[in-house]
Amino acid sequence: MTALSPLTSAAPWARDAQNLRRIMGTVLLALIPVFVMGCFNTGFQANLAIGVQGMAPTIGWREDLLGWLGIAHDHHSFMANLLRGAMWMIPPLIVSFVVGGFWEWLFCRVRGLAFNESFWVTAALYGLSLPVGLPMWKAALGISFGIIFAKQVFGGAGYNVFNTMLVSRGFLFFSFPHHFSGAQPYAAVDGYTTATPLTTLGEYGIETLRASYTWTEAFIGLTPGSLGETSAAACLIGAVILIATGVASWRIIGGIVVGVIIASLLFNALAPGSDNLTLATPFWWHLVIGSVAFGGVYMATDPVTAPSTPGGRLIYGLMIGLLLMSIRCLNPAYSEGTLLSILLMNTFAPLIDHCVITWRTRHRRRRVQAS
Amino acid sequence: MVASAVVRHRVRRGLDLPLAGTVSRQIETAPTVSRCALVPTDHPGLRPRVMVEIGSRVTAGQTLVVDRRNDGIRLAAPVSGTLSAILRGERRAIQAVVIDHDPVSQEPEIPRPDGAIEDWSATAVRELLQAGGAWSTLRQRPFDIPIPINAPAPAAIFVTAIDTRPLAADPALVLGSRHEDLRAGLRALARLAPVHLCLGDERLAVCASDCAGVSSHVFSGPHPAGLVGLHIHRLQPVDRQGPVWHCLAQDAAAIGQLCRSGQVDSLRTVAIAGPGVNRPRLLRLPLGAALAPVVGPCLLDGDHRIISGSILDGRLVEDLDQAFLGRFHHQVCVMPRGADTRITGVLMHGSRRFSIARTLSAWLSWRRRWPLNAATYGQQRSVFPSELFDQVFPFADIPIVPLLRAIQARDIETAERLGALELCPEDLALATFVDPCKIDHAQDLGHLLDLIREEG
Repeated sequence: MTALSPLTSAAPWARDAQNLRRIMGTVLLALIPVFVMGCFNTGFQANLAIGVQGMAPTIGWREDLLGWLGIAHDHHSFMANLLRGAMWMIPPLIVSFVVGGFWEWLFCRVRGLAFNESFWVTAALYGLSLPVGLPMWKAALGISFGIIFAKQVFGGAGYNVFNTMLVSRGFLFFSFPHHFSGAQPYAAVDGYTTATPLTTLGEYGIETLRASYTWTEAFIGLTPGSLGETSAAACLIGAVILIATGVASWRIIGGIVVGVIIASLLFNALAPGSDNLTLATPFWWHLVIGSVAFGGVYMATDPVTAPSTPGGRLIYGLMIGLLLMSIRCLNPAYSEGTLLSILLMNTFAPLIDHCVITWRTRHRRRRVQAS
Repeated sequence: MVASAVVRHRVRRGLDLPLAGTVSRQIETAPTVSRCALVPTDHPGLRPRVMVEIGSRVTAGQTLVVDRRNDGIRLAAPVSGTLSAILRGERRAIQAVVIDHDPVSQEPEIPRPDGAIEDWSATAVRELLQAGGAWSTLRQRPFDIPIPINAPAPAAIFVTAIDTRPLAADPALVLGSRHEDLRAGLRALARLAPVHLCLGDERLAVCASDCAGVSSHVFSGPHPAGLVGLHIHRLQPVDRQGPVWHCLAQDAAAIGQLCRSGQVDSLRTVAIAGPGVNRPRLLRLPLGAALAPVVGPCLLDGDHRIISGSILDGRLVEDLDQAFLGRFHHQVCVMPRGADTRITGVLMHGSRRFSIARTLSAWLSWRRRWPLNAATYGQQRSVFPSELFDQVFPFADIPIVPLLRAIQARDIETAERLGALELCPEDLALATFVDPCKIDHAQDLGHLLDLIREEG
């Protein structure tokens, strides 16, 4: 299947066996836990609504197919949850790969460039980050916008300033906000609305959230939310894979965790006497709800849009963590700050790099002048 | 005798490439080499003009080639014999000036100044080195260019007595019996500028122990701990205004021999090594030796690539019959071509191919020595700022990824601000090795430096 390798044409005459394809393949591997947990939870939420709340199942090809396969609405059955979730999970992924792949292929073809494997990760992350039941044409519109205006107009993969996947999702977030707020169903059942943990937190506070879900449930990801982002446990497995293989920067992930913890402790101290119910939430809850884990592990670690100096990466992660918590706790309009904070820090990545580089080159310049 | 202080430097980042085919510690008798050559491309920026007619007799140390733009830059004949041919390549560029070596002829004795070396004037040392053909062993960083004879004294001279390149011969072993020569060489160089002797093995520090103006530095750690670029970065950062000179320890010992006896030493100990060699060995070869009679008998069966120099920064031999040992190369590496290697796929377990990245399983067999081949294992992509670059690049004040981006963008100003002038292609060899996007950063840096040098 793979082609013959070209031979080296300049020194060094041998090369490391790793290539970009391998790196991107490893990210996909690290996304498998997220995919599986996403399928399971989406199915679980739907079966819960149908079986326990007595909602009517959504009429359509999914229900027909599940009925034909003999899958019941049983939220206790692992397979029933997994397959029902997969029915909702796989179509957006297919749309994202096919539509995004078309644009990618078209631009590479016109420019005479090789197809860049980083597209696989963009498409997979985009598919996994969509809300349940988003119309397919909207999904196609989002990925098209991202690939064209966030990546290809800048010269293609490796030259983009903003994370392509985040721009795609951000485009949807601002164009069709009702899909991303609590009023729209986050479960795969018609007419059924349920609040995500973040909405609950913002409106009723941490005690109500604790009454609805245990911390373990939130950690494993058995809460309503976008297709693949609810499970912090799956993201943790992914983080271990990515850090162990050296694909993702531990500095960025570590920086985000530390930033979230610092900001939480700060807000906890401000909480007494404030009518903002989010402030009192302890950091171990903040780390497992919303898309902090998903964004922190898979999106913020995109090396192309992050700073390229090791020190810069640490600052970048820290700033994302602080900014994310500020948006989440202090801004009632958008309860989810992950996407916005990473996009904003993408803008600042060159500035962070500039500061780190200036500091390092100044040190060198002083030594040159001293000698 | 009080031993002067030795400064220790620990290098933490880098990579010792586990290449198969390490040499033994025995220096063997070399086969007779009848052809040697001066290869002008060993000296970056040189526009050569040959000063001797074909068929004339030359003696070792006699000026053979002069730079067209600066007649203070002169390269000497490496050995005595008859100038037999001038090999030319594309656009008639001189590839090699070939001398039919005549090993039995009596080498002339070069007249030396009187008195102890410590009392010689800098001018006298320069004249002696020029007359003995040893001046061109010195190179100037930035650019690693040859130095005009009347160049102002540099901030420092680095003598590199450590070689951490894969399969390199240990300079402490090679110079084991030549401490007096090295000591004399250091004393002579110290007449020109302060000397930094950079070592991997403390035993050689004794050569500098009673030399005024010579300081010893022991570098330990993985490659590039033995590259002069790193030594310069740690000890004496350079720019256009403050260049430094450097030379290899074997060349410094040859300078010492010239100073002690007036004899031109044209032999160097060279490692013939690599996975494609039947029995890796150390040989004493004349400078610029023809490779065919030396390497030919050592080759294993199979499709090989022969590199003059190390696998990381050597020169590819395209036609063995017309190939000569590089002026600053102390090894010849023979590696399998690996023309049937496939690009590393997503699902390959990858235990049979070497990688320092942990996305493949090669790191599990960390004691294995690998027969690395010439496959790139992937196709070129745009710069991907992998953290691997930082792992193999120990130049603390040079941010590697921004530098690589500047090189790719041909942004001279940024590259220079980041410290590109301190580097030469060999310093980016490891970064190029680990790059998952298979970009030839080292070669591109060379082109950028050529551009900077030509534009002045």
